[in-house]
Amino acid sequence: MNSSLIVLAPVAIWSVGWGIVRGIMSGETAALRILAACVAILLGLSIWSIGYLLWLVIGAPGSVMYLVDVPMLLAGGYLLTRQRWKARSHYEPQRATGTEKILLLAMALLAMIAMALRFAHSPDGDWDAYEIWNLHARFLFRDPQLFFRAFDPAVNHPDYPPLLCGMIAHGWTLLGRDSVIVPMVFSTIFTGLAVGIVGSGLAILRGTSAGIIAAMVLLGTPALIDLGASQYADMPIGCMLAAAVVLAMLAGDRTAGRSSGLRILSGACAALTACVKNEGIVMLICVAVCVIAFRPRGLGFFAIGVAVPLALLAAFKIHYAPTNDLVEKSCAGSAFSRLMNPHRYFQITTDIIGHILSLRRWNIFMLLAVVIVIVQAMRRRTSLAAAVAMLISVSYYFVYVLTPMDLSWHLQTSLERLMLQLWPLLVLSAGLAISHGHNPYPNPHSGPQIRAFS
Amino acid sequence: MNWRMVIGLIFVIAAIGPAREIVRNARDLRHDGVPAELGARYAALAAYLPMDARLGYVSDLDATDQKARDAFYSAAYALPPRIVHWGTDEPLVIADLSDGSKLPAICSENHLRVVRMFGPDLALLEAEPRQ
Repeated sequence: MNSSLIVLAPVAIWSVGWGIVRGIMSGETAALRILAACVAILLGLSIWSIGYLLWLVIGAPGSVMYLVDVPMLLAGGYLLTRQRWKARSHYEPQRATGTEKILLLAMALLAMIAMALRFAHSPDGDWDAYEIWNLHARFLFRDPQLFFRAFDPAVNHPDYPPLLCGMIAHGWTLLGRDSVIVPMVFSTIFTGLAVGIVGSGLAILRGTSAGIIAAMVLLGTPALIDLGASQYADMPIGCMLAAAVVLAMLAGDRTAGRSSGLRILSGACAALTACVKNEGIVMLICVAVCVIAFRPRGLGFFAIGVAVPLALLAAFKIHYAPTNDLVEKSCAGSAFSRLMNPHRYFQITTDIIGHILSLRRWNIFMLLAVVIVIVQAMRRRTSLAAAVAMLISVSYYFVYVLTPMDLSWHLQTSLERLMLQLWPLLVLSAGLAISHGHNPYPNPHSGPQIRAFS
Repeated sequence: MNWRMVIGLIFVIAAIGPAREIVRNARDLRHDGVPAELGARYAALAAYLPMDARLGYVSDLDATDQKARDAFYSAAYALPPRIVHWGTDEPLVIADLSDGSKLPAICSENHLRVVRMFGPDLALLEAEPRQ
């Protein structure tokens, strides 16, 4: 295959993603356009990966370009001919000032330089990248007829869902070789999407300056830059979680987009987290519980969005994935004794506090965000975003309490990554809390800023 | 404090994060240099092996040794779609050694013989035929 044809891939991804999103979200303001673009890329990439995985499942007949990319391009072209969603109400948001734009660009530039240096130092990524994600992708790419070997029990974490590896392997297949550039590009895209989704989401919900500050906070987090460039799946999953919550918060606001569509997109993003990593199943349940508690209206649309990714995940788990190692090693009797062991709670809590206080990894922002979210919860002013973040945190806490693995090892190898998954959502939650009533550019009309916090 | 100062202050605090990462990554890069492709040492072995092979893996270092584990994971990363797992219970076994002189001892201990050498400390082994 001519590797220059890889240029068609971004067009196919964009056209399908944007074709779907433009029928749902409005482009009234720059923030809405950025959010819509981020969601479009997220969806387009996911569909692109799912297309590749289905191509493998049917025996990889013919060229993936003609069987997946070209049909995606045509479907995207058709979707783009449909009428764009038009908002029925209008509001004039404050534009970002020149200073804000310059500072944000400068911060983005610094973060990109840091990521580029990280890529140069570890082109294959860190341990999880080359022993799980890029390894699985190599199985898919190197012999499509033997793709199921990626899920052999002898391979590391064979039960992990293949959405991210599907993206990487699809890129390699079009390129014709397993270049380190492809996972680097995806990790950069997902880091950028996390910043874009939280920044634009907060800009819509609380004003442009709040969004810019949130974006600067994310770009100023060393752990986000480091783990983002490590080619791990924690950045994509965190990015999808943030998108699910932002879209759920915007649903019901007709300035932002079609309510039913926003709920479907929210459900799809929540379910896609489960197609990236097993933790996504916890995330999906937590988002669903919070949506039921906070925004039960239109729940059916949320469920429609969840249905397709969840069905694909179920098919993968039934047909290909062996039992998860945590589940396999667990037994009810020892789980109960772990649950009753106070030392485990002490160890987990001190480790979490230690990470929160690590300025080297999280700057001062993690500490501030956690304090803000907890204070708001104590004042019973929890937003949907904060509720989801807290519920997932509690779930993860009890996964550590119950883990059959050595607790010190488990905490050491995973806690920071789990915090990264929640970091975009925590920044969103803290931003929603502190900008409440302090939006320097309040929306003069009944825009999303009012309804989104209900 | 006006809004511009607030944003400026947040920028300064935030910029510490990527600035530190730039310094750290640049220092690491200068110290370690641009690394060779991970698993490049197994390229000749990969070219020799059939795609559907399942391979055992043995080292002269203990399986808990970090250096041995790093080498094992490099091999597992370099060889897909061949499956590599630690142990000698496969028809073909990779001997990945820190000290090539230990190969005869490893072969005799595990009843294996050399199929082919891929360098002084990397060999493909197979089970010795039963007497």
